[in-house]
Amino acid sequence: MKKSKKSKIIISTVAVIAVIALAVVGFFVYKNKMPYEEKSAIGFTMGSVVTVKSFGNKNADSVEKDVVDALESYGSSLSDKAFDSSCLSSKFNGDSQAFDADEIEAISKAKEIYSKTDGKAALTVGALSSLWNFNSGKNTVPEKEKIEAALKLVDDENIIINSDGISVSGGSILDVGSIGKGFACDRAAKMLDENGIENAVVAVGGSIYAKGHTAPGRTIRVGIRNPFGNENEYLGYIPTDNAFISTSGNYEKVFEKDGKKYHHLLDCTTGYPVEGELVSVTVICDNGAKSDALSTACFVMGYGNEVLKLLKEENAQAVFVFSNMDVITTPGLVNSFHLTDNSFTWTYV
Amino acid sequence: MDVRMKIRFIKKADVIIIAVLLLIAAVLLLTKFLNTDNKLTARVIRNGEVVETIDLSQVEKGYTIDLGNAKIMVEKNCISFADADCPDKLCVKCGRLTHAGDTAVCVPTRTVITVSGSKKTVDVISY
Amino acid sequence: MKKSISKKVAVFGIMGALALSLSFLESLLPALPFLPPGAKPGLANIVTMFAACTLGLPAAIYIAVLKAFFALVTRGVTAFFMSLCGGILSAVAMYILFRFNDKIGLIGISVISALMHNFGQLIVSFFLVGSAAVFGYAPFLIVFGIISGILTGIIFKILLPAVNKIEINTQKGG
Repeated sequence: MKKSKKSKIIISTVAVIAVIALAVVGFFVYKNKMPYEEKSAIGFTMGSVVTVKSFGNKNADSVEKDVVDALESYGSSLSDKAFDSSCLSSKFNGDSQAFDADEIEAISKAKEIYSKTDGKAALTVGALSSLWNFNSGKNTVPEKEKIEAALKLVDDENIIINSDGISVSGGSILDVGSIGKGFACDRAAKMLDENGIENAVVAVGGSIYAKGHTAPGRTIRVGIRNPFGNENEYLGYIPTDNAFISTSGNYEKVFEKDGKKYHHLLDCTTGYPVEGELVSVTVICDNGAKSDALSTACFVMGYGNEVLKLLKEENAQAVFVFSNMDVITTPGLVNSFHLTDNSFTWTYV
Repeated sequence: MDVRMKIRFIKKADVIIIAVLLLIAAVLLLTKFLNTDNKLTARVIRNGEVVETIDLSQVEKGYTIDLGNAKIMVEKNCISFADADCPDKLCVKCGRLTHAGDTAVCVPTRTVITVSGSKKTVDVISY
Repeated sequence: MKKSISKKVAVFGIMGALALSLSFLESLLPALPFLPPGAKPGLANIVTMFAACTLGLPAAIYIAVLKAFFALVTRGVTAFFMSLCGGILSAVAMYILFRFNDKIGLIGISVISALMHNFGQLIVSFFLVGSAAVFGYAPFLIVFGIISGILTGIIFKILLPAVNKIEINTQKGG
């Protein structure tokens, strides 16, 4: 009698403990792992897809769609007043235009950064980029004479920046293609802040703005595309709660002619695509247009002390991917870069 | 050698053991199913090394990965073994992996494909 | 003396054949959708349990090794290692539980040994494949191990009276 009562007590205690344990575990898992609800909107601007995602946005309004619409109309108005080589057809008619204060600041910064590339990158690359015309799909290699003639028109000294506008002399053509998407991210960031969105990811083509968290304790994870794989494959990621990220790579907008590959990142001293061991550079910093300009600058300069110095001066971090599948990151990414694809070898400076 | 006389058919210790084991299994299954979301990442592991990381939620068109002795089919939010050089083909019989925590293993070819949820996925890719 | 040894050899032989034919029959079963492919009820474990229970550890290990070699011949080297590890772990667990315990009943022993078998196989897979992802199967294997353990335990209990007769003969005949 006593024995069976004892065993009943033991079994029921075990059952109660089990139920309580399950409830506690369930509660913790729910609280800590459940991601915030995601809302997103998609559009098309500056020749690329634009995506705006928010996490945990409790408002009923559609901020995400508003931001996408704003970026679409901005891209449209930008191509009215400036040449953008990343767009299929720019409506720019060649007259100097008025830019607003933010745009002037972004362009000035890019000019400053490109001035450190020994002429390899320039904002006035317009004559050259329109010659190559990567977005047309016509994929022809321009004649050498035409390239040399265009090179003469590439000179950032011809850019005159005033307080209310920018003008370009000497027949040079300003091309905002290398900073447009990053700048769009800046505008998106501002709009999201104004609307009180705390957690969001904006992608304009490959330029990213990441802010906040996707779940309690989990910041935004920005992946770096595997240059040798398709667009869904990434070689690693960087978690961040506030950063602008841009990548320049030779796998985008590339065509092959007579056995040689031509990509869209032009060396403004030769007039031809940059050659070297680098396959992509990803720059992370606190400003969109700056990250875009820096990724272009780093790519044309190639990996080396000068590039590392430039990054340090601009307080930016970078990930360099080489054709032999080496990956080098700047020191600031030691604790944040995560390599997920072990076919790459990672070292940091 | 009359051990059989001593062993009873079922005792309370048995019930407790089974109950505890079921509890453990339930907790493990629970953590798997709570990870259900649409951001699935697949990893292909060969000899312990991750050789492919794929964001399944971004896959639009299905394609096949040929590893030599194993072929893997990748689709939107789904990954599976299409074929493998092993006698049992247990890995192929695992079918399509569509949830976080789903795994298919081919031991003879040392290949594993796993699907994980938001813990490992990236939220966006910069290119 | 001689008679007892030859009877023992005969018993071992029959047990071995029984274990292998049960394994073979099970391998013909189709893989059910909600189970990990390759999961089988483990009816041959009934033979191992009999061996561990009445004939001692060497007999149980003998059955496990025999099953492993059968796997080697029919399914290859990987299957050999997985069967060997799982089989031996399971046999040892059975022996210990039959010999040195009086708290756990037959069903418990059967379930534990089924789980030890699965666990042994998982360990081998983990080392061969090099990834902890294999443990993703664990919950399903636990549940299925419990079910098959209960099943084989019940069958063993039913067969117990018949099995008793065999042993008495070898002892007395010696």
